[in-house]
Amino acid sequence: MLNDLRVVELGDGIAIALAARAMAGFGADVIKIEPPEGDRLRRVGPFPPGRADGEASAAHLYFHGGKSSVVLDLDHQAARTALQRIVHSGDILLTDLPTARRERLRLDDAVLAGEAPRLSVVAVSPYGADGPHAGYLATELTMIAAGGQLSLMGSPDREPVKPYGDQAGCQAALSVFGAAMAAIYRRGRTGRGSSVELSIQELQASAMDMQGPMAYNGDPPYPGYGRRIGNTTHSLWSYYPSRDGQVGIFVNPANIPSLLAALGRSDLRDRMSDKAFLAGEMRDLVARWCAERTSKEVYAAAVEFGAPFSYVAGPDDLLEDPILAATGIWRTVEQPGVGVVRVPGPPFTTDAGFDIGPAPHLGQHTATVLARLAGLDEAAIRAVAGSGS
Amino acid sequence: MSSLAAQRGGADAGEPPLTGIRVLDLSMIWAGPFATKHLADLGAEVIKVEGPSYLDHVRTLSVPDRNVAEPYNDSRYFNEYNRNKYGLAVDIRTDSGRDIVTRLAAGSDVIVENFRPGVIERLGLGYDTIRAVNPRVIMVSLPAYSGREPERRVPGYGPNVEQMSGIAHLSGYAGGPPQKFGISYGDPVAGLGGAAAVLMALVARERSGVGQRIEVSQRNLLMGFIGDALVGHQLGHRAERSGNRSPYAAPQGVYPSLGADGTPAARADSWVALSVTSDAQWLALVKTMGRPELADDPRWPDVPARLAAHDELDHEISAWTSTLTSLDAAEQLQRAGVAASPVLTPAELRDDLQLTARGFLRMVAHATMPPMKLTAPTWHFQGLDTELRAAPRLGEHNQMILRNRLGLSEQRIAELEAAGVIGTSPTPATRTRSRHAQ
Repeated sequence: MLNDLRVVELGDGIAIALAARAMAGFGADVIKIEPPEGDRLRRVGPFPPGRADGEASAAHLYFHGGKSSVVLDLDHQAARTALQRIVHSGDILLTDLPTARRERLRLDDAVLAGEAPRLSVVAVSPYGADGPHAGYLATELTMIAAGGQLSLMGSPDREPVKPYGDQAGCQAALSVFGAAMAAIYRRGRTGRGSSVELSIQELQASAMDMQGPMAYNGDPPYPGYGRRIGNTTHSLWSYYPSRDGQVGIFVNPANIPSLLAALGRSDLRDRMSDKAFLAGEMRDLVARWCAERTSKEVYAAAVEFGAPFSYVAGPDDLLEDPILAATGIWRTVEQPGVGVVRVPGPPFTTDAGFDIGPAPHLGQHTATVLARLAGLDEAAIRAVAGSGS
Repeated sequence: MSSLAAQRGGADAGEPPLTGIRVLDLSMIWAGPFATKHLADLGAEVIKVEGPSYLDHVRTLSVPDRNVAEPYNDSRYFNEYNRNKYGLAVDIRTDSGRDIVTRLAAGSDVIVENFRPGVIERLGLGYDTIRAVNPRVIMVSLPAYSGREPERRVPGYGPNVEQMSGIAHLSGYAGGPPQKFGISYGDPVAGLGGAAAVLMALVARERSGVGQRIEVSQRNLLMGFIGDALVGHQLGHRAERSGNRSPYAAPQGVYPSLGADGTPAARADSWVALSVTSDAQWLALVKTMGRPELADDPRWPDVPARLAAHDELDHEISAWTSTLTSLDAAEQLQRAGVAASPVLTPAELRDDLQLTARGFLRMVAHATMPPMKLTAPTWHFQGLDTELRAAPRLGEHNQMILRNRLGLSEQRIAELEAAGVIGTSPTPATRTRSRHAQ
């Protein structure tokens, strides 16, 4: 669907990496610029047993799938010039470099507006390009702390706990993707590229459920909603242990009939507005019902009765689930030097195909891209490539 | 005249990107409205459809004063995620109501819905039906799981989706159980995915001339956020829940701090997050803590050693952070070159210096309440600024929409009002869709 778009990824954050991966899957020509030591994600793993090299990092294999790798040592003028040519040839530049660095590379908005007027730039940073914290350092932990979502996650009697991975970055990736598409759509109407700036802190703070809009207006939070509440809000909105794991019973008033049908206790219908009953007998009843069943049996009841029950699925559950596979989520990738793996495919299902190739070896496409897009001959390519060796 | 009469096609550089794009928003609660919020922020004309007997459930939540005449128009939650939209309250259970919505759909560029799978078809608004009269239409569905049997029969809310996507399995304290998110995480993620999908489909439509149907499965989309763990698992790495720690940053954690009012750290529920990603930052941290001798401790020379002794380090760091507010601790660390941030609560976000400096919250007039704060659009297009309007009151734009979009006469509109097909206040038998229902 994006076959005629060229995307240049310049930076090392998850937000641009995941957005660019999706674009590659939908057909865009994505060129990832890497420093001589390789992208950060090549070093973070997780690694297969016995490996710790940049070609085997699972983060690299997943987030960089389907891209071309071009290594440039931007300390050298020839590499900077080549980068400028590559960027100018593109439709979209995705970057998380600080503004000052972009200026030094002559890839700032003012320069690009003159030299590549059809190029659109999506620039993302932890705190935004301006403001008193614009230059603050950030990691996946501090970003989700600054955006507010960490404050609500975890047990009330412990410190807040972060979710897996870089969720602030993953959320931002969808905004990066969307903003880039909006810019391309706009170019079709105006003939010119756009510059879009995103702050990961703002993106999170604008997605703070009900608690955000209430607090922003000075309203007191609902009891139990302003702070961490662990895994239980009340007896019908809670995790429960099953016979072999953890399940979720998350039931709203509209789901009461299906809950009671699954429990085989439709006789309790009239007691479902009795708060003392819900907090006592009903909690015990639900806990017992879950504890007597495996997680998959609880989910089978969800299917049978149309009830919002779920279970905590692990990687094996996901990889082995035929119903999930039938949704078309998986893509099989043959990764040279590593093996065959299945990866989550498109972020959403469309009429278009989504083909994701293997992640590139470091610098795998340096020579071809420099020739094709920077117009360099073999000697010049050797000079640029050599500057990074 | 409102943008409901905006000209279609063509644009100049000063117009928002989606000027002239018509969106019919049949979604409720959070995921769908979050998607269409982004489209409205980009200048699309978004008509939010409710019924006088079928309100968006969030109208009943976060209402500051329930004793006012129209509490259903004052919800903070509703106003935040439905700003800049137009409101139509029409009873789609009636033939006339269905006809109105069908005609609007036929003239729309985009339809967004988050009914349970199959409902949109039963309403006669399925993609194939609309496409037959409007081949350019883009229809986006946001189910919890998918439209496939048997899971299409299973309703799912945010925490269900977190569990079924695998992300809950990977999240939580070290040695502890899987952890639920503090927000209904699947919803905003699906909303962003929905907005992104619409925008990509609009790009594609410029070339193909036709629209398409898009399914944004909340579960599948969240799986894309743990793709590295799924790959690692297949390569033999067994991920374990590790709390706030990281294999490549140590120390890293969330530490207690003084309350802003001086409440001791042990009782303040105030926290600061910090990450040390290099040996130089380790030196900076211990100097900032006033404990430079720790840098010479042979037990902690590098990341692997510090990871192995993390509990001891946590004790030392907590002793220091407990003497400071989270703001002070983070500020000192940032000045020293260490990544750190207060763990900002929703109330603290409101007063955050950075967000304030960037105009994150804007004061917006409301018809029945004092001006309220809404978040500014988060995709900052250089040279463009989008004004914010409060979310529509129930049925606020009934007449405008029926007159301008469908060409109905004043007499016909009055007949529809008299028959209860359209309205501006809830009917006695009003139902609401449950929170986060899919």
